[in-house]
Amino acid sequence: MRPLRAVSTVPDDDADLMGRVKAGDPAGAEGLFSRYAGPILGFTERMLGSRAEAEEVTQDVFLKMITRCEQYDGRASVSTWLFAIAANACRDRLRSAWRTTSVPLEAVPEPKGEGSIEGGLLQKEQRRVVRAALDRLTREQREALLLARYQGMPYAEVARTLGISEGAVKTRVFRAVETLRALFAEEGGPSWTAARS
Amino acid sequence: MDCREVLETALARTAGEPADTRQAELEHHLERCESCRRAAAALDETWERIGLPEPDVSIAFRERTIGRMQEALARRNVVSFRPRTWWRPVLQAAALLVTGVGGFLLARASAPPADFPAAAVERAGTPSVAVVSERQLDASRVALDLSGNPRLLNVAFRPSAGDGRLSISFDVTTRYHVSGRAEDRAVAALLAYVVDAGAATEGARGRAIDLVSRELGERAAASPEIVEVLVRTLKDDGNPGVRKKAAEALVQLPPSPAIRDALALALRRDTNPAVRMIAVEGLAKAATTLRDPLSIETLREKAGDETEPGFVRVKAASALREIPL
Repeated sequence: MRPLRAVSTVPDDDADLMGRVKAGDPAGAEGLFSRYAGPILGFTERMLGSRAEAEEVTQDVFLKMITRCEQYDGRASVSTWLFAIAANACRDRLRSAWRTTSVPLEAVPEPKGEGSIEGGLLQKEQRRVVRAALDRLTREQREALLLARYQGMPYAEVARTLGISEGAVKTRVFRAVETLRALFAEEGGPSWTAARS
Repeated sequence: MDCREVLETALARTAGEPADTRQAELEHHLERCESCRRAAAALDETWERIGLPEPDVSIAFRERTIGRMQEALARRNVVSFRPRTWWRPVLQAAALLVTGVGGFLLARASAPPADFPAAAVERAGTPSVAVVSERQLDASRVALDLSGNPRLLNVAFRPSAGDGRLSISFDVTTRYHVSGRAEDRAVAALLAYVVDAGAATEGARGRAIDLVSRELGERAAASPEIVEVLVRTLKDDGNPGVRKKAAEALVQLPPSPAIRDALALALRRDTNPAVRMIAVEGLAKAATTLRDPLSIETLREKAGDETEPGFVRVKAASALREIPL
């Protein structure tokens, strides 16, 4: 029941694109951006709780991909390498004293037209409940769960991305889901229908 | 396998991990242990329930990031300069031309800046520092002090075109750390510049506004540059989160006609209800302090506006009730 296998399904293509980045070809960078911008933005947004900060961090990830591409030695997949950069950047942000504690930007809805608010109400409620619950996990649990659940990474790849053992991933993911289960039970369960991705 | 191990393994299986050699043991345990069966089912259900769609990558974000990547690639593609033997005499000549320049640079450092916003010019007697993106130097009039060993990037040469003048171009990356009190004019001017245009991302603009709100609070009113830039940001910024922060910062300031007008405009025209809610707060404050008919009228208009979401109308009506008329 692995949800998403968009990440690391085509390691050869990724390596080829990375080779083009190393050769200075913008099409290589654009190809990797198209493939991983969404997943990395999703990861950073759920880690940081702010769309604006997530975009900033995601942009940094792709700029680092260019400035540090010579450091990529092909031992890990490109996606593992990119997510490791993203995870480190999120940790730095979360540690930073400058980080704002105000309401996240995505809490400010931007109406997109007639009926869109009502139409998306259920989905917004679902997001709100899940995001609030994710915020209550420890940083370690959250990053392991986000990679395993939303990026569809096998535990071994999560372990390589975060620089921890596979056993630690298994425990962190378990504790995260167990905590969420308890939170939902405490609050009477989320009021939305389960979304299957 | 104890119960805890069983649940961890069962969840790993739900997550898509391949079955290992202990699969049979897991199945056997689950068959026998009712509480583990229930707990494993609850974990499965939670795993399914936390599914969220992937966020959209906006076109603006995509274009901005790809543009930056292309710039970064272009910078990286420049072959770093390695002096060759035949260039050495030219470089020596250039070095002769540029030694002794330190005095000029020091003199430049105390001259009025050309490219920094006028607001950054300090009081008479305070030396100012120009933060510039490009500088042209005439080697016949100045010398360069390279004793700080700056790292020269993107070095390019243009041979002399008959007049005997050759040209050497390069980039030097310099990081500035500007520190000072919130009331120092240079700090206020720099914050205003970052909020206005100097910073490339919404995040940086938002954080600059946060800093203004947190560190300056009401004192920001003493800095016309900051008030002006907050008003402009509330009116024109494309990001609703940044506009909301600008509105929050303005509401903290003592009401003035300029602030009132900006909030009234936001209440009438801003597409984002959260921004309009903050504008209601600010107008209520302006109406109370300035006894201002325009603020009261705008609030009345919104309180009865059927097209507004209920929470904005209620907020406007409550604000009106609290204004001592």
